Amino acid sequence: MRRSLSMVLSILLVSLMLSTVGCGVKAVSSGNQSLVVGEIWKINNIDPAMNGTLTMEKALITESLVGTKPNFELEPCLAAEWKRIDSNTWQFTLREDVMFHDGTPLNAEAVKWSLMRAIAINPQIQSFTKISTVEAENERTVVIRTTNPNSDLPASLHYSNTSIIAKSSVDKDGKLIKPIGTGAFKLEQFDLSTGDMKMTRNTDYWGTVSKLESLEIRALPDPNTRALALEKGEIDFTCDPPYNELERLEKVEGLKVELNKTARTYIIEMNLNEAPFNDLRVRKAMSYAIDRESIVKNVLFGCGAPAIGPYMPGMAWTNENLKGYPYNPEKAKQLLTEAGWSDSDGDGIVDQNGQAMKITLMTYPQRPGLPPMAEAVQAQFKNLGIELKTEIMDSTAMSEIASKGKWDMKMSAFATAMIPSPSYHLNTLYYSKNNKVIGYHNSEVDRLIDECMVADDQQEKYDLSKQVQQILEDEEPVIPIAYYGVAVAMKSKVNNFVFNPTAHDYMLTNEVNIKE
Amino acid sequence: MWKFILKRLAATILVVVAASILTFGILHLTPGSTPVTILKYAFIGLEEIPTEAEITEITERYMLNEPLYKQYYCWLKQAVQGDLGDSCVYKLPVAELIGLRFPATVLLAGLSVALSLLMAIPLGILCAVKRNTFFDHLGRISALFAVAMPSFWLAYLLIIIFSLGFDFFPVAGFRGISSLVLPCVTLAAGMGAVTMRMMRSSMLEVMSQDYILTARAKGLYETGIISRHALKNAFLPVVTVVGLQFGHMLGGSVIVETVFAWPGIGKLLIDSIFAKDIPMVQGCVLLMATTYALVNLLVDLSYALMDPRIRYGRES
Repeated sequence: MRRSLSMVLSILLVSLMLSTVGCGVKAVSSGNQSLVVGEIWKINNIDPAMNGTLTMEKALITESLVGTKPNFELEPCLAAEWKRIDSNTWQFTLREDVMFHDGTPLNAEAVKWSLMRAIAINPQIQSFTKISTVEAENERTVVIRTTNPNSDLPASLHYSNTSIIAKSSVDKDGKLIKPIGTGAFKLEQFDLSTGDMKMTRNTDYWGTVSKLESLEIRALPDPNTRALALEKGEIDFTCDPPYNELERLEKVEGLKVELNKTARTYIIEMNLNEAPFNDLRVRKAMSYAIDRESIVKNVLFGCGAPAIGPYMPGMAWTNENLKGYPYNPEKAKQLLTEAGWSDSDGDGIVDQNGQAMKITLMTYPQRPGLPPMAEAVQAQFKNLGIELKTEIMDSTAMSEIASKGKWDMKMSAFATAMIPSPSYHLNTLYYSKNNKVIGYHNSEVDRLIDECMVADDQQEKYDLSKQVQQILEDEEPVIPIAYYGVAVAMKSKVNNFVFNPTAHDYMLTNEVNIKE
Repeated sequence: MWKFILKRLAATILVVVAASILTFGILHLTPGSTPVTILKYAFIGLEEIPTEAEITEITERYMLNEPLYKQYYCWLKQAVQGDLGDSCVYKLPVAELIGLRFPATVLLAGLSVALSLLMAIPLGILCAVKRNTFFDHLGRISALFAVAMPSFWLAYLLIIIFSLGFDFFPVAGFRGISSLVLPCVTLAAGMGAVTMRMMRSSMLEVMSQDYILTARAKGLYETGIISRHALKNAFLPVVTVVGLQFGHMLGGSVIVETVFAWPGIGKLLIDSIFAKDIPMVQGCVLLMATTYALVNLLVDLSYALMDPRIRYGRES
């Protein structure tokens, strides 16, 4: 009996093992000039009006009217030039030689239809652009009127969700079939269940036709899986593998890892309506107490850079004269004492009028750097005698708690150039009317931002923005911690990839190809 | 019997409606205002601050200013007519999205339950028969390991060994049979361990019954006793557990779906909950509650098949 049972068992086991071995397949690899990208988000949607970052920056299917240089200055893209006719009217002249992937020409009517469609779908586009009407004056001239004077209209028309698609992208009920754009690649196939996209190159592209014959995007939201898939060779290119894997991946033969910075800043916002944050000396003390170098090195594994002001260096309007608050625990302690906070009862926590300084820092887990960064700040504040409690929650829950006014500090990774404008970020975060949550009121800042938003001359806009940044450094209503890093990991054979800091995660270009 | 089935099906409808009311209520209780959450997840980006105009637009578009009971009633009215509405995030009909994801979930659930049974049943029987031998200890310790191993860890381990090391299977994705193996093994390990322990203890209990002694006294072969007399009775509790496991699996398995980029229903549901994509969540819950209730009904019916003493629909 024993023998027969163990026999059955061994047969089962062996057949199981054989069956598994039998299914082994090699990694998918098509022609030489093809690139497989491991996308970092789940792909819900390929509608450019909602997920333009994907269709414009990653899949290279769509393009917008206005382009940007790596320093965030605007440059022509589908629009060859634009001018402001009066405070609310703009004229955009389209390039002549552009065709959609369906063979129809890019003309003013097409642009009008595409912009109006995007506005109807995504309410954010209206708030960026303030468009009231779009008119096709002739074949190549588009006249855009805004509801309010908006000197950031060209910048907001760079935003990927306004990227232009042909009318044949939708069916007769207005439902999206697939985005048909003007970009260097055409969408061939999209699998909504997995989020996999397959593109082939657009041989009629108005710019340089890509050497890559095909481009494939696979949604791999798990960072560890992305790293493993790259190592295995299932993908050629990805970004943001786990930060602690970077060093190991770099040593794997045939892979290269690049650390870049993007226009996003890790910041701590404080409830300025309440003590102790209404005291400038306390805010400065806290800023001096944060060892940004150590956070970048130990928490972000070098993926990022210590922050000085709100904008990272290299952006056209970054005030490069800012000094920031370099780590200085003595100065921090001194400032706290000046503000009347000292450890009078010897429990290691500073107090004032018998009230110990115990504060809560909220943050969210969606950006992997945030929770450990909060813990690092907690430890650094402890040296200063501040008891910091960290709370990790969903980001929407965090903003809801803050909006109710009962909060101390929150940490987030805030995009500083959702649209490439020197005023956009300042306006959303520091203008008293727009961000009531942190309670920052400075009429000078408000006035300068107002001026910056209406100014026509780009250089003047940049200067106004720099002035605001200087005031923000003096008043420290928000503590900048680090500039957001993007780790790009790819096969060594991937050629000509140049990181573009204006990308929202990473941006491919028609120049990328495979080394022969 | 038929009366029993009809009764149970009617109860299923009640369960499903109750589940949908609960989900709807809980979704509105979770922190984060609904229009702001939808805006952040579907339109403006997670960290952006929505403007008043954007909030008003979304509130009106999805009728979020109506009282809750009215919103629910609207949804129910449509759902009864077979229209589950459109997802706010995907901008596509909920039914279509579920139709895309559910087959992958059923495939994964079915195969991993099958694989777990294939391992657990023979092992469980063997361990029971060879009680307290080296083999039994080995089996039980392995089961302990399998059940204690977090699935995300096992998943990465399997990828590192069988995908990176031996190049047998792809790391992730949903492309052909080979991509099924690792997710199936990951899920089957935990489930199989539970089933195996269940099988073993249930078998031991049955083997100590008098009728087994009688069978032995009659001089039957041990194999015959086990396969013909003991097994049928020992299966009953195992079937219950397996039914529950299968029902659970049909709800998707978020971790395995995330690690292996598997297009299942679990990740879809979780992401929709975060985004407060109410029609999508309601659709998923509807499907899960229905399948769970149906699987349980099938389990109950299978009792009658295995044990002639159990009869439904008759007062005893």
